[in-house]
Amino acid sequence: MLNINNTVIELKESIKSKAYHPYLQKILDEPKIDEDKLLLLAGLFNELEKSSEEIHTDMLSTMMVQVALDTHELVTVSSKEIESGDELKNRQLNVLAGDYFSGLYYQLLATTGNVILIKILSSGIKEINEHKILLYQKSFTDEDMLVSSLKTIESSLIQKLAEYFAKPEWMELAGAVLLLNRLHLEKMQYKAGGQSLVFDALAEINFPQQKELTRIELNYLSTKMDKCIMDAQHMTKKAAVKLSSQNGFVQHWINTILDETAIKANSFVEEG
Amino acid sequence: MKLKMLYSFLNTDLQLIEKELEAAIQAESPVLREASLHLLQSGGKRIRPVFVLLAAQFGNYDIHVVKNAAVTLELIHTASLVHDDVVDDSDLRRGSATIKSKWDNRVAMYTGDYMFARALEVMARIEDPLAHKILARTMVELCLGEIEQIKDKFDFDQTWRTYFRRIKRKTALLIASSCQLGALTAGTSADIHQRLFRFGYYVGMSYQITDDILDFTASEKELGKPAGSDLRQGNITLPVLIAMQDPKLKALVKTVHEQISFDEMTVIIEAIKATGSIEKAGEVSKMYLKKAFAQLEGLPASRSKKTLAEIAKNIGNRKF
Repeated sequence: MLNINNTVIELKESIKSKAYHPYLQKILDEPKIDEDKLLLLAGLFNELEKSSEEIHTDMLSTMMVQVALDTHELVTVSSKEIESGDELKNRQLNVLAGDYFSGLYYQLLATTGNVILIKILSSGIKEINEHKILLYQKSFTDEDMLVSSLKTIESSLIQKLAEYFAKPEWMELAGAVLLLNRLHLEKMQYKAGGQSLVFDALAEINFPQQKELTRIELNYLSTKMDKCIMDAQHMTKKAAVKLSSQNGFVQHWINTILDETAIKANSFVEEG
Repeated sequence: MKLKMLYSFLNTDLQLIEKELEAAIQAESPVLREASLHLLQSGGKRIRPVFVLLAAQFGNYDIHVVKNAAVTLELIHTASLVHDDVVDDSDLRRGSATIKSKWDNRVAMYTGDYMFARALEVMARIEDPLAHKILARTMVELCLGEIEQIKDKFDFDQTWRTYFRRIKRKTALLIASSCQLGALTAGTSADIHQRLFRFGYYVGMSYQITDDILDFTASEKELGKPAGSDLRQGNITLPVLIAMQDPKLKALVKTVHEQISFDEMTVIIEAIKATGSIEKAGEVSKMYLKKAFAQLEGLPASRSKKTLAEIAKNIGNRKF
């Protein structure tokens, strides 16, 4: 039995130390660690009959994959005409840093001979990238397909591990809560005037190839987004009930997320 | 003799590898499928799979086992090219539009990551932990080599050791691992697969040095880019390091920057050539080839041994 809070703290230090490279550190920001995914992993591994060394390597490898994927999200799409020397170097190093972190995850598992986990995680990475492209290209025919892709992008790594370890309750929880987090984040980005891939995909589904949307159409999309968030909250609550009572720390975290993502009536219209 | 003729007896197995490569990138997303296929079908020599198959013939050759290593290495090589094009902002590769130019950087990143993942999924069919250790080390070193290349750009005071370590990481290790993994998956003895690793390593070093020489000696048409492009981008290669032993030449080379005019660059290239550094770098390349041949001497006589030697010669003597 692990102390989940301590595990998360230790793992964060291990990820930072594993990902440390003097030159990358000098030029790039420190790699971002997704604490929600780390906590879910800690909760899942807390229920497994494994040695603490094995748990540490398995969790560290999985999180290195996540760090690698997140680092590649930082690669800019901009053209060379508007790029300064520093921006160019930043982009180049984000490409290479992501590849490097990815290599490190493989090396960690290769060192311990854990071929099964290599298979599981690479299958997750494959699936995530397939769905990232679908989202990026807005290639959805309906909202269910969009939501399902988002869920895969956010939770495939943990879901595949939970499936392998026969922990369906963790599959369900990871899918629901990480989807909820992502939808909420996209909503916040959109409200702050930034770009939201999810909002753009919703627009493409509901008003295909329409460049300008009216206020009424935008409100309609906002309501759709809120509906998706409420559905994800419902799924999260349902999944959380199935966790064992040993997971008080995780339960507390889920309650915090549910509070943070609570939808007020017409929230987009009022605040947006 | 053309390179492909040297290993024509492997054609049936190479066709199988080709089918496996295509099957490995059958993504659900049409864009991902098209992007992956686009580069795979753009005329690579498949030299890494060839090394895998030839090395495997020193053991119990079973194409249905060995193919996994061959497909993995080609997918890793291809994925790294997709990401390299984002790093270098390249619009053309092998005469075709790069993925980043046909789509954009984001699609190229996802495609590369997808291909890396598929490579490891295929590799996971091999259970030998040593095979995974070798490949994992190679992948990490490959990235470190690329990172170093960026760090060392326009560093005119870098040592020869830095250069050799960089090309070892960037190029030689993947060829060395191709040879070793081929042998390992065919169950050869440690002596044989380690010997083949060293053979591949020396061939890879010779290959990269030759590549660096050709950047100065081949025509723009042959290279698909202007001569001296490496130096213009700040990549200090062996011919430049040798030439810079002359302080006057070093002062001239230090004036190179990315916006340097064609005429100014031509003067510098000619000055480098006049030092005899191209020939000296050629000697170093030949020395590595000699070391590669020495590794082959310890291997049992066979058609693959002969072919490996021919390929090494062909790679070392290529004109572009």
